[in-house]
Amino acid sequence: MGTTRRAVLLSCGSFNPPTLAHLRMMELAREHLQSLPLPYTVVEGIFSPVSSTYVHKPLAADNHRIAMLEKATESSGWMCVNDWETTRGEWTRTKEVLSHHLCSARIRHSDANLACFLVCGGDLVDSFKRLLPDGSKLWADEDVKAIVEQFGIVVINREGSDPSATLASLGHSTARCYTISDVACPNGVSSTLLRAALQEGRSVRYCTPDGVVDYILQHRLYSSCIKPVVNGVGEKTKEQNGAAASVSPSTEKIELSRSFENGDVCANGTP
Amino acid sequence: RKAVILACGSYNPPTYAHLRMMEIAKEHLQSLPIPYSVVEGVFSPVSSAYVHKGLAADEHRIAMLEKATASSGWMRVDDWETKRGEWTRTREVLTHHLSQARLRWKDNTLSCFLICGGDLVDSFKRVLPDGKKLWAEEDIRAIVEQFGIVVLKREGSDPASTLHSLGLSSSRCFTINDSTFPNAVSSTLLREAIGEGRSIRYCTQDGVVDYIEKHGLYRKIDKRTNGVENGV
Repeated sequence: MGTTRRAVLLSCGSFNPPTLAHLRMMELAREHLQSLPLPYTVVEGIFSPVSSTYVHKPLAADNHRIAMLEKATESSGWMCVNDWETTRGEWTRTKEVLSHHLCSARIRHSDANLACFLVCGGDLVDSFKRLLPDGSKLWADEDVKAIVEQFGIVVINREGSDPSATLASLGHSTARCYTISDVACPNGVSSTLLRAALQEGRSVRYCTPDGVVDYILQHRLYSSCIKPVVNGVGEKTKEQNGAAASVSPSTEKIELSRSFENGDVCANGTP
Repeated sequence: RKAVILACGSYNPPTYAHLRMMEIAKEHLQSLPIPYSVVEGVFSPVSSAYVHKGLAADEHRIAMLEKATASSGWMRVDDWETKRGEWTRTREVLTHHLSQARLRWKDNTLSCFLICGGDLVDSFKRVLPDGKKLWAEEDIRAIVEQFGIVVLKREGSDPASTLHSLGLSSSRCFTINDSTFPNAVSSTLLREAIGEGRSIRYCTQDGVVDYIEKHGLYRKIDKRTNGVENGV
C-alpha cells in the first residue's frame, strides 16, 4: 500500500514577539509540502524559540515568548511551541535543534522515515553566506550542508532576500529545498516593527493573534517606559531607547536589559 | 468629543487589512492634540444590488464581518445598506449612521468620519467615459468638510493636495499610514487564492476562514453553471 511520507516542520527564531507572518509561513510551508507531486503529510509544526541566553539583542524572557507562542498556536490543530531550546541554558545550533526534533518526532509518531524540515524566511537562508566582522563564517559549512541536504528547508521569500540564488550558490544538493512566496498575503510585518510600535504606544492588534496582543499588554512587554519620568530627568535616555522592559510575573519587578552592540554587559549581568 | 468611524466597501471577503485600517484610524483620532473618543467602528458592506461579479451574497458578507469583529469591543457590522435593495450613495450612508449614532449616544455633536483608502480620494476627480463625474460635487464637499475622512495612505497618492485642488478644506481630513503592518493583502488576492484551492489562514480572522470553507464561497467558477458561483 502506498503510504505518504510524513514530515514535521520546525521554525526557529526569537519570536519577539510572534506575528501573523510566522503563522502564515508555517501554513504555507505545510501547504506546499502537502501539494508536491510526491507529497508529505505534515503532522506537526513546531515553533522553537531561541533561549534568551543567546543575547544579541534584548529579548523578552523565555517564559513570555513561550506563552505568546502558546497563544498564537492555540487555535491550530497542528502547530505548537516547544521549549527544549530554552531549557538548555545555552546557545544551541540550528542543526542540533533539528536533530533533536527529528529524533523525538520519529519516536512520537512511530515513524523512522519521518522528515523534519526547517521553515524559515529568505533572510535566514541568505545569512548562510554571512561573514562576521572577524572574517569567520556565521554558519559552519557542515551545519549548512546537513540542514540543506539531510533535513531540508522550506524557505519563504521576503522583501530584500534572494534565497533561491543563495541556495544555488552553496554547492550542496537542493533536492530538499523548497522556495515559496506568499501570493495571497504579501506581508512585510516583522517582530521588529511590532516592537517599534509597542515602544511608541501604538496598537499591534491584527498584526498578531488577539491572545498575543492581550498577553503583551497585560505583561507590558516591549514598552520602553511605563512611567514618564526616567532617571529623574523626565526624558528617555539613549539606553532606554534601546531597552526592552519585561515584567516577571512572580516578582513584578521590572528588569531592563540594554542592547549591547559593543559588547556591553546587560543590566541583569548576562554578557 | 465623540466620533464613530464608518467603513464602506465590499468586504468580499474581509481581511486583516480592513481590521487594521479601523484600528489605526481610531488610534489616530484618539491621539490628536484635541482628541476624539472613538465610540464605534462600523463596517457597512455594500448591497449586492450594486452588482459586481463574484460578490458573495449580502448575508455571507455580513456574517463574515460579524466573525471578523466578534472579538472587538468597539467594531461592528451594520446591514442598513444591504437592506435598502439598491445602491446608496456614500454621503447617504454617512448621514444615516451619523444620525443613528447621535441618538444612540445621546450626543448631537458626535462626529462620523469615513475611513477610506487613498484611491477613494483620488477617485473624487474621476470622470466617467460619458464625461460625467463619478462623484457629485456636493457629495464630496459634504463627505470631506461636514463629516470628515480618515485616509489610509497609498503609494503615490496625496489626499490633501487632491482635496485642495478640488477647492476643498482638508481640516477634517486625516491621513494615516500603517508602518507596523506593511501588507498588500486584499480581498482580490484572497479570492484568487481560494479559487485556486490555496490557504488563506492568517490572512484574515479564523472565523472568516472557517465560514468561507463551510459555505464553499469563492470556489472556482463552474463553467457549466454559466458563471454562477457558490454563495452568489
